[in-house]
Amino acid sequence: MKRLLSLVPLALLAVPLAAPLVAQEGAAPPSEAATKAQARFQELTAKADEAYQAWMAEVQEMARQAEEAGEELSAFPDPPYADFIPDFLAAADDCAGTPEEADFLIWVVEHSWGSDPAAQEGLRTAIDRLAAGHLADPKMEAVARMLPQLRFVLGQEQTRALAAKLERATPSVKVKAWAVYARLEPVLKDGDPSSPAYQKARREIMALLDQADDEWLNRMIRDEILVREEFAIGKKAPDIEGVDLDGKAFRLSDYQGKIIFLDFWGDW
Amino acid sequence: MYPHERSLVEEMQEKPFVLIGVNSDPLERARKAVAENGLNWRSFQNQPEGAEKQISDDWKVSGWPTIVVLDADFRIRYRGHSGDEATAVAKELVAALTKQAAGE
Repeated sequence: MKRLLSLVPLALLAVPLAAPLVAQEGAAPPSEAATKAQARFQELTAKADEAYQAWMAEVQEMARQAEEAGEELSAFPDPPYADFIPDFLAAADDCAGTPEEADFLIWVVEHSWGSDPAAQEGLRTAIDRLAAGHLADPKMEAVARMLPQLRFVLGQEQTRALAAKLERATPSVKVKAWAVYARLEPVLKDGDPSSPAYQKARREIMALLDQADDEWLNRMIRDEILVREEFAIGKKAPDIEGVDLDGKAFRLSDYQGKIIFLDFWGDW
Repeated sequence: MYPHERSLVEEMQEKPFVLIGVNSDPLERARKAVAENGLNWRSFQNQPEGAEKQISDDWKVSGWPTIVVLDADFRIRYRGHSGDEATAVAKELVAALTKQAAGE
């Protein structure tokens, strides 16, 4: 079950992100073309979601059978989203240059995970078109949030180029925070915390974090950066005062002087 | 993981080495795991009944399992998720410590 749990959330993640995209209504009544495009978007996402539900039921059934047999589920089919990418790209063509085009393209970006070459190609196409015409759209937040994962498909260089463009063009502080994080990540992850470059990067991202107030980004920074500073190699470890499984009190420092292998474990 | 950790503890029994766990399960489940798998190391309860905080929060642990290897001065020498890497680091430290003790 472990593998299943670690993979499925990536696919699930796209669903709540997609929801607000359809409800972008400005003060002026939408044009007929816009209404039509929005209806098509609804229709396509409903179809894709239906296929996803069917896939999910299938995977759950496979997991149930594996568990009954006392086995771990090691392989299961990809979510069926790739089948819908051509439809979404075609719909984007039909409303090229309008804000609705971004909805279709962002859907493609959110749903083309996996090793399927057609899906990866669709992802690249969608990214190129979003970068060409929709960088300042606040909806690009969905893409900005995916920058840390996008580099595994687009490669480091292209992802950074996209981040730089977003950083320049966006009016949204959240998008900016994610884009800046993509730019600074190498320094923050691998730089020497005492170096001026690291300190500068840290100040820049922390100032943006305060403004953006983005829970997910906060958590990533906390996990990756603050952990690195507090629990860096060579740092003194904090003591632990606690009780063992028999309820007996002890401290980690009772064992100081030995090499300690501290194992955060659970019976999964 | 259990066989790896169990044999590590056995192998290092006579050495300046200790494996300490921080267990995140409900107490009954943890005890059952220990009994059924013959687990041979001492563990903290991550959040004993009545405790306000989890040890894993203090240690900023977000992915399980996480292993931290400390040297004899309580300094961090490894932090990560790989049992093999942590074991290699710990064994090297044990060897250096043993050598140092023999030289003194």
